[in-house]
Amino acid sequence: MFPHRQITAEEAAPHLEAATIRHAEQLLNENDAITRIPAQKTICIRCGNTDAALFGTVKNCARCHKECTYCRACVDMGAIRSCASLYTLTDAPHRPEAGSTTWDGTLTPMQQNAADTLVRGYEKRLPEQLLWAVCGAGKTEMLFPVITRALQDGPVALAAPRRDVVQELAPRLASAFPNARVHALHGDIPAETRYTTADIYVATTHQLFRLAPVFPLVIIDEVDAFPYTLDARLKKAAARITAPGGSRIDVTATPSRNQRRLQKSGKLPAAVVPRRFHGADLPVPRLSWCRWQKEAAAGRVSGPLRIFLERHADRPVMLFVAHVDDLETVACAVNILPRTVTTVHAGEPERSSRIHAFRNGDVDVLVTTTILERGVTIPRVQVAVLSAEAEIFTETALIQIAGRAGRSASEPSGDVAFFHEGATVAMWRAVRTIRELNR
Amino acid sequence: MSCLVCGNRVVPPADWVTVFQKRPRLCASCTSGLERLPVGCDVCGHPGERCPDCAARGEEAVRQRSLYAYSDAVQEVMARFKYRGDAVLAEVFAANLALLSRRTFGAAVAVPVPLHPDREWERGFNQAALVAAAFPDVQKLLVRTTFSEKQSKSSREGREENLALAFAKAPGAEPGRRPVVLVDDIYTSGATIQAAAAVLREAGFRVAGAVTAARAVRKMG
Repeated sequence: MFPHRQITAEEAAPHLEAATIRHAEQLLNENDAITRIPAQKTICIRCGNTDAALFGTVKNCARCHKECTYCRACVDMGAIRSCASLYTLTDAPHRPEAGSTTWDGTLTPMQQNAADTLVRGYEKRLPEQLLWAVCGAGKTEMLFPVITRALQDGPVALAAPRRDVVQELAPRLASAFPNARVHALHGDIPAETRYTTADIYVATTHQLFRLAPVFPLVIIDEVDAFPYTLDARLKKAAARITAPGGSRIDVTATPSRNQRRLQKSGKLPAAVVPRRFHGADLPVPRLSWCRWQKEAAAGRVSGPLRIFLERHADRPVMLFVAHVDDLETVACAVNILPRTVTTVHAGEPERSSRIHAFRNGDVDVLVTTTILERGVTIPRVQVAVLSAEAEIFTETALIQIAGRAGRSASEPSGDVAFFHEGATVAMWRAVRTIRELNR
Repeated sequence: MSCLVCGNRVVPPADWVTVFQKRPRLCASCTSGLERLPVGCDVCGHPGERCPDCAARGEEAVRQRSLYAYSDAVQEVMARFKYRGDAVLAEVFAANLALLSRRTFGAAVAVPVPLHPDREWERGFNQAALVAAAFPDVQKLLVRTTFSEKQSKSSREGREENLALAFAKAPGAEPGRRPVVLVDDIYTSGATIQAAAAVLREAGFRVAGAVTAARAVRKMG
């Protein structure tokens, strides 16, 4: 049986030397070391869904011969009938020696301060803490002390919104904690490593559904990102896997207005880092009227955009657009200038290779949807948003996009332009929040 | 109402027909993934000429009709329905399947092709019984006696060999006044339907034909 997991009899069967799933279920039920979590009719024990419209019914279940329900929200992981159960190891093995690992890098005083706040909060067993650190503040490093502390008590789970981020974070943690076993969990890992035991799990938010409530420390990275805010089930999952008396840390560069209010009034314990690790100001976006679509339709590059591109002729440039359909239009328009262009969106099969080419400097301009609004660090990059008035560019999205610029210590400033046809409240709020952080 | 398959909201067209119809369970884009087949071969319903396989079976051949081609979209729905256990998806097929049977074979007793009890326990339901749910009269006249390999993974020769002894008459099943129609989820070579029909005929039932939710279609041309 697998520590730190909660799994169905179907998932356990291949590992149990049981010929049938019925037999596997019997073995699991008879094993005293395994806790059985019986499923329920109106709340999903795996994903926490309570929406009645998302429960399916089987009139005459072949297992219990009664009417059964199952959750359709997480049916892609295999349905859990109301007559079935999830299984988890009652006593997860614990390796205190994993906590002996120390990270010997140095933190700036501001980072150290935030890191200490988090460790104190963890020791006080605060159920929820917020780490509000601006883009490029070195969030991951600030978490190392609290992770070190928590590893003494048990395994640590770190959830990130996207697979790309998970795959980037896992090796960083592995090199920082050489004595701990670090394991990445996402939808596309091979079957043989799916149930590997580790001390630190880096998981996409959906994989939280498969983890057991044994984690004294749960960290949710980019708490404001899709799909976390969109999907209340994932919030419940994060709360569920936190061990009794455990602590959760929500990490974000752009807290919601509600979170900021709670933080200001002291209801939400928070560590705030308003400076980047190199100490320079965040680049403040400038707003500029630009009718790029009309000009592009006429085969021209509109004035402000052309000036922007010419000014940064020797630097990598990222252009953010609102819709996938805009990618080609912009790429064609930019192609008029002597620049190499490539495009990226969520459904692009060559996504990683194109980003790689941009990173290497083989391509001058990267036109992208909001998919790259967070998590990418490209030195010396300059950023512009086209049609910044679009609804998809919310305050948080714009702050994240602005946070792409000026991340390296060697070139801590950067140019951020919001090209728009009518400034929106979101744009003004983004500018104001960045100014506030710079104060 | 949200779409059974993709979960998006179903917006029926705003006209009077909509008012008098049942609410559709699928959205327009998921419906377009279900491809109705023109009837070709009089026996198995495969598009085009009468197929050689059916001709070879001669008098014994069971007439069958399928609702949809086993396209990628249908395959995706079937995988979620059968293997991941999303039983509600039977509704995608059930009503139209009963209608198809009634129009082709007239009033008849539906007989879902059974699963072995162990397999049925594992899956939690018999998918054939669920897609037959909309028939007015469903009777379990057959039982499966062997725990065969999953059909979808075996070759044609393997299938027929597997199936020769796979079915038996259910205890207490007696022929009634009306003919019977076999119901299954997927039609591939027809071996399953043939084997099941043979057992029923042996027991004195009149087998009018068979209906399936989806069928494999040979590459054309």
